[in-house]
Amino acid sequence: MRKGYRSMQVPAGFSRREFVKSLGAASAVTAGGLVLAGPGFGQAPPAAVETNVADFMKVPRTPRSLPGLCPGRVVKVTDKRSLVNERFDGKVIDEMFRKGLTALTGKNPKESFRLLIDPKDVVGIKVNPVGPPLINTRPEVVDAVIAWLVENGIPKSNIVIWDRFDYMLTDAGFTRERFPGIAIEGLQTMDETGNTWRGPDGKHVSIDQFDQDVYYYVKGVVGKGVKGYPDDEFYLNQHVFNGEYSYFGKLVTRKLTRIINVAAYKNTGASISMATKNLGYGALCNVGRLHAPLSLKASVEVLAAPVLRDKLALNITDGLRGQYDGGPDKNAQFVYDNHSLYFATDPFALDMLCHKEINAKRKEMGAAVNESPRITEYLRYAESLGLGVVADEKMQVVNA
Amino acid sequence: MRVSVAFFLLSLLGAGFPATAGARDFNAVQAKAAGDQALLPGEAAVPGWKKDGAPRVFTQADLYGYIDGGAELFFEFGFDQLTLQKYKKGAHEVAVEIYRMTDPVAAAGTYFMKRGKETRDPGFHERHTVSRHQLLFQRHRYYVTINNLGGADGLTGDLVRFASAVASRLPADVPAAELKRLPTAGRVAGSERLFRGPVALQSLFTLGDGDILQQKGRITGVAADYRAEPGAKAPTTLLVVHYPSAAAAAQAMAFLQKNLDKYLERVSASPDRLVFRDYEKKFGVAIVKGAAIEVRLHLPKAS
Repeated sequence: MRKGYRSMQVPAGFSRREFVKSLGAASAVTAGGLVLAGPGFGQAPPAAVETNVADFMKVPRTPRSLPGLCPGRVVKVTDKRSLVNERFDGKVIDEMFRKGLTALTGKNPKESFRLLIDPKDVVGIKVNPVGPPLINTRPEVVDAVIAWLVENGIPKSNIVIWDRFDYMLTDAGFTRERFPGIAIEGLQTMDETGNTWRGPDGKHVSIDQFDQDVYYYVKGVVGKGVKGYPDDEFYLNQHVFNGEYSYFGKLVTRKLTRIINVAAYKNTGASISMATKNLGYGALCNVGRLHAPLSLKASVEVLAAPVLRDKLALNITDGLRGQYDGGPDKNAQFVYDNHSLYFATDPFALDMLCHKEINAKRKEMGAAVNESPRITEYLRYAESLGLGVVADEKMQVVNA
Repeated sequence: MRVSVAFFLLSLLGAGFPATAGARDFNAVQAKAAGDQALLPGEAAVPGWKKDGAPRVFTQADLYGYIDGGAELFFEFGFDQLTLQKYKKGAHEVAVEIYRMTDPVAAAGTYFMKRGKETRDPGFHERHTVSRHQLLFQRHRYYVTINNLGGADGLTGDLVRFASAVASRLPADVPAAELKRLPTAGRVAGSERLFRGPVALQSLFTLGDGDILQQKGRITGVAADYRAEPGAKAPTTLLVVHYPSAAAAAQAMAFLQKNLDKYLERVSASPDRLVFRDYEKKFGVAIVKGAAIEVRLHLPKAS
């Protein structure tokens, strides 16, 4: 019998006994099919997949739960001075950040802080370091976030810049030298040679960095024989675990109390790899197995986990540069200066706007565009779970 | 990327070239050279540039790590290995990436997906596109990218020199015969695409889940846009998939009809013809023609 989901804390008004009892209850069955990778060649369409999202949904929401303070509201700030001749202007970007924050909450940056963060919080800034130097989260945007946090009382020692892989952070310029006093943490390491990732005990050296009490469960989908991996050993090197459970990083479950999600602005296939995916595939291990059967739907369900749902304070998509095709890795042919930052507490509304913008750019540039509703189905799924607001008539888009 | 993998080099010995005598000879040279390092430009090829570290070789799973999430396209077309070498000149850095695909069509298909609107340099004669940051080209079964990592201005000439040095070591190109299946009249130049499965196909249109056209990773489809019909604003798109037999085409059509995407409304269907209305109220028509299926998309009318 599978394990039940365990939140970090037993929610208020919920006894430990009641809470644990609920975990063995029915799981949700979600249909696959938001395929970017798709099932194996020649196979029939994917069957329904059982996950533990229903367990997540049973945990009572808090005032901080998604979609947060501003459901369906997205603010776009554009300033052409932010990027000129390949140079990012940190001062202008800081101005854009404060302008966006103010337009999002209707309050000045100091008051916005009080609405979103508590001075006692330990704040994690989730960046996207994939695709440097062209299309990763820019350090200048993170500078602006840190400055805002520090001036409102968060000590630098309570700020963590993080991603799933430690080496990618370094490659993208997120180093202790660049950000003195700020912790830089990858949830895991991956051995370069593929030969020495096991410790003396024979286990993955990063195994203790994941919380085996807090996980996303997908029945029958394991990290064995996954297409594209030469063997299961390599999968373990890259994903630490390979069973039916994807464990959240302890950084997320035990240390961070609030999360600011700073995604890059880029496509993946006919879809996008922005706010939802940045956190949905970046906060836990053993995700390689999820691409084919669930793709972005897995990201939605991961964000439904209380450990993220109740901690995600703010989403910023760094669209200073954009990439409309060839993503998620950098592809200079499709990179352009977009000069914009996007703000939302609701990551799904944010992604809906950005998806439409990317499609418009693809049309403008004569690239192939697939406008099937299938591509954004995951965002409507998030809305059906009460995690976001993505319907046109309900969204508010503000150009500040 | 963190995966250097000497042991994978052994696997290259089994990597086959398309069956031409010259290709086989070339393949033998490759195996002896332990991969494609022999294709990398020497330090004399581009004045002022020195190799920065040893070349790195990536195969299969390594590619997932290297391009994180973007590897599926390469695998779908057919990927053998990537050889990467960085070069430095002062503060400037260039990375040469040589993707050895399983066959020339796989390389051309990858290039078509990556090229965007081609901007060419008159000094380089391969099919290519170049910008300040990157030069992409394809020749034979190689898809090659030359990356200006720092993005500094004024290095385009050097990118071209790197590309020329690599191209001079590659076998002659073999144009994809599949492209000849596309009518030339009305075709939008530069819109041609190849596809072998759902990853590439999905960038064009969603006909259904998974391997909806039953290409099984081996059968290559071809697509292009065509200028708008009289009275219509947007161009139409034609997909052509040629199967090994008429029976295989018929089976693929039956699979398509059975698993048509839920956002496509079936208008009419017979064993060799399917008409559907899409989410934009435009029409699509799929027809079996001998051993091929032709699919026309974004039509203003069902006829």
